[in-house]
Amino acid sequence: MNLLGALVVGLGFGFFLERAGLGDSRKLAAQFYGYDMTVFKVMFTAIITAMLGLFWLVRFGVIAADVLTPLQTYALPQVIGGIIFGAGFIVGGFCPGTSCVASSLGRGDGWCFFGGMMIGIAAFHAGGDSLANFATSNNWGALSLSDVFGLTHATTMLIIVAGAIGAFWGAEWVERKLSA
Amino acid sequence: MSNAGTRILPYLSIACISLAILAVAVGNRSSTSVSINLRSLAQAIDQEEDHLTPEELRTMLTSGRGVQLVDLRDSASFVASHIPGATNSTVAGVLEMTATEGIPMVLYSDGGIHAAQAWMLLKAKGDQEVYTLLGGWKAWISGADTSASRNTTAVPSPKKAPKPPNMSKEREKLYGEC
Repeated sequence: MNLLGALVVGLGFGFFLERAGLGDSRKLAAQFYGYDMTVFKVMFTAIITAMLGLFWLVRFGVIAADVLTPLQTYALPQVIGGIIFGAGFIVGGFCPGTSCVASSLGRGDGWCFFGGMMIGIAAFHAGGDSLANFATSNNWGALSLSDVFGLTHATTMLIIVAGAIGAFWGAEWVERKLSA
Repeated sequence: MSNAGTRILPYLSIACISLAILAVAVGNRSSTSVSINLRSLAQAIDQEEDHLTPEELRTMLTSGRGVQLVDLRDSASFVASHIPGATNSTVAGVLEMTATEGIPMVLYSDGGIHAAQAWMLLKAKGDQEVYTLLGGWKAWISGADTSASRNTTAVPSPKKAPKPPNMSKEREKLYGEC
């Protein structure tokens, strides 16, 4: 049942990435130059939708809070991973999810990126215990913004939603300015 | 963005902000009021994933792996003697604690009842790696532990309780002392 759920969620994720135009590496790369803020808008839309959705589903008892597992903050590995991820994103024009979308659309650049990603995964596992141990080192625990700033989840959510909507409108303005 | 998207954007923004403001208004009940998955908790108990035996705790302590030990007895008992490395807390105080992934939290009380209650609270909060010490402090000092002080009272005779099936000898011995 979990695998079936994962398949449905994965298909939905891919479908909406494609509908947002994120199967096109040029569109993704344009984000880094400020010409096209689609990635930014899609990501923030996803974040606030998930945040509001989870809060209210837990609140109404549809989702039990104890089945949610907050991810751990492995500070140094995540900083290094983020830099590698960002570098790969701007060089290759894809992130892992969008490379799958592009591959499924039959795009050659998508397949190249997807192949490179598989090689990277294999190399990581070939690295053995030392790499695996590093990936889970420097653990700061399951940190949340609420914990760090001493706010309730709801207040944190309000600040992020307000910030995201402000940023969304700001992104529209930047796009208009740069494409004018 | 398409014209339709631009038209709908203000309405979506207002809807999101309204839901967030409403969330602040109704409050956050994650700290003291949560919904729990009763089946998963019951399964953890049935499968004996909720506790460690004193022997298992000793092995864990000597392995060098970090353990967060929480002593739930009264402060006088704690001062008199406790498992090395333990911190003293009330059951309510446990609510302020959070188990860190990779570092198991082990709760113990005199016999185990308070520890079991605190275990339930922490699991309801969503902490993953939390255990009670089977038999509690009494079981710990009745063993061959040499690191705790010896100025403690003897172990009282255990209460008889129905035992679950397929119980190991050690667990069977300790079960009555919970």
